[in-house]
Amino acid sequence: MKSSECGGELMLRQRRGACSATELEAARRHLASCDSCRMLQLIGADFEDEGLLEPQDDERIRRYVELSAVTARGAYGRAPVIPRLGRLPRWALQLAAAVALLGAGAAGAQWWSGLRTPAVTVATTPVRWSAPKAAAPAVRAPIPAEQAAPRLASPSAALDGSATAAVSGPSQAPRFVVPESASLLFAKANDARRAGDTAAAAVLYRQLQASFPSSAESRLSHVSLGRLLLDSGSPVTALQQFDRYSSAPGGELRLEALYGRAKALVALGRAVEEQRAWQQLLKEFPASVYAERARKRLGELR
Amino acid sequence: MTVEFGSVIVGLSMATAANREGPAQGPSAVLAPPKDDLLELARAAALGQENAARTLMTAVAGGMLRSVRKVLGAHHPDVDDAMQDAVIAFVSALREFRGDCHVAHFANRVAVFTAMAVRRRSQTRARFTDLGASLAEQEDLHGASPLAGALAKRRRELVRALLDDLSEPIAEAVALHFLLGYSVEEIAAASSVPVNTVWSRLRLGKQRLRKALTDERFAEELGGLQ
Repeated sequence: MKSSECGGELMLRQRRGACSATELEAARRHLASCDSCRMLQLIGADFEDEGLLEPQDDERIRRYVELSAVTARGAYGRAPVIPRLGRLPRWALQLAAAVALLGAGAAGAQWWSGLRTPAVTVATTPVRWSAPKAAAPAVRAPIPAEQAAPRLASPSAALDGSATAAVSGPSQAPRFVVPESASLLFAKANDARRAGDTAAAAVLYRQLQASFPSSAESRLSHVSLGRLLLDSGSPVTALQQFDRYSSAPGGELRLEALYGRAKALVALGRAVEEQRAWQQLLKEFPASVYAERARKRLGELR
Repeated sequence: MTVEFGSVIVGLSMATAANREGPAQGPSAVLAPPKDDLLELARAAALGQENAARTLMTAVAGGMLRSVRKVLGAHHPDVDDAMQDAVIAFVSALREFRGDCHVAHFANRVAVFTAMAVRRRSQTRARFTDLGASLAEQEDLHGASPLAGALAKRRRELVRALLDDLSEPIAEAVALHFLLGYSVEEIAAASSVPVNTVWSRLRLGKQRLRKALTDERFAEELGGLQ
């Protein structure tokens, strides 16, 4: 095969940690004869660590998340409905529309600060995406009181999920509002976690998993809840969450789930299983951000 | 680089960045993508559901940010602007997204395309405002030896300069293949073009890359560095 026709599949599999031992040997031999793959490997290595994410990117990513919500609303949200006002002159209708828009704009102005106005057209052929429409700033409505996360009498019980959650207040029955959607539940759980209300976050994650077990949000939540449980000193239930995520193949958070699993086993003092967990992480993600830590820990365990 | 077990948001995004395709499916498997967990979210976001958009962006933002940094340079002053442009473009394009490729691939492609456009604007702006300022990256050796780090840095600069010079379709194919590690089939799916078209673009891109990396001037610089 001419080097210009080599698609570098073996190199790409190696880069993703997807090669068996036999394939690794085949890749090594192939490199000796294919300058296209040598170039691919060299440039790949040069850019591999470029722009690695750091903890301070958290805040930046939060802004992008909010920007995406504003954009979705602006690009696909319903237009404001202007009630029929009878046979009014055109200028009166236009004035009514302007007043309605100004009201929404003023309420959103403070929240909008710090975010850029949606940019002008980025796309040209052949990408074929249209210019983003100018999005009205969306005001995130406060969650109504009856939908707020229920406050629990026993945070540790709520975290473990081993006891029935008792709600403080006049009624002793759990007051879990029927969720609107998996994504809304997930958002509420994340909000609670960010606000430091770990008990409520745990309840909401579990509610999401119970109500929408096959949803994408439910699957993601196994990692979120696992980390929350681990940080709260519940490694047993944390391990269960990470394993539930990893039980299905693939997944965007597989690396995080494997890392969480290993950390839970550290906390539980199960050294043999911990060793296997680090080895599996390195096998599947040899160049990940946790690889160095995995190798160090494996060295300590020997 | 070791990262502590910190925020979930960064953790989610970093995992997305590091794990494009998931683990191996078996010794004889080609680069077959697993089921796309994000497709439902993308469809919901395209219907204007803000929370779906938030969840989706939480999953793909890390990969997009890494893609932007790879194209622009980790410390380029326009990284944040490019990323915001990319977020808007990505969400705005979801209604036209047909699921021909993974949502994460589509998001990264938008990020690459946006970053390349920003880079071209930056170069033009620098030329016309005569800032003379180099947009070269800062030293970031990641533990490599000084010589190896300097050579890698120089190669990155050459590759980025070449991306500025190539036509957009070829630059996109080169960036997705060499910087992000996408296969020919994945690039074809993400770009909605035939596989043979991607082959042609990569063939031309590789010729230019090979020439840039073996250029006599680079060799002289290598001699100066050694």
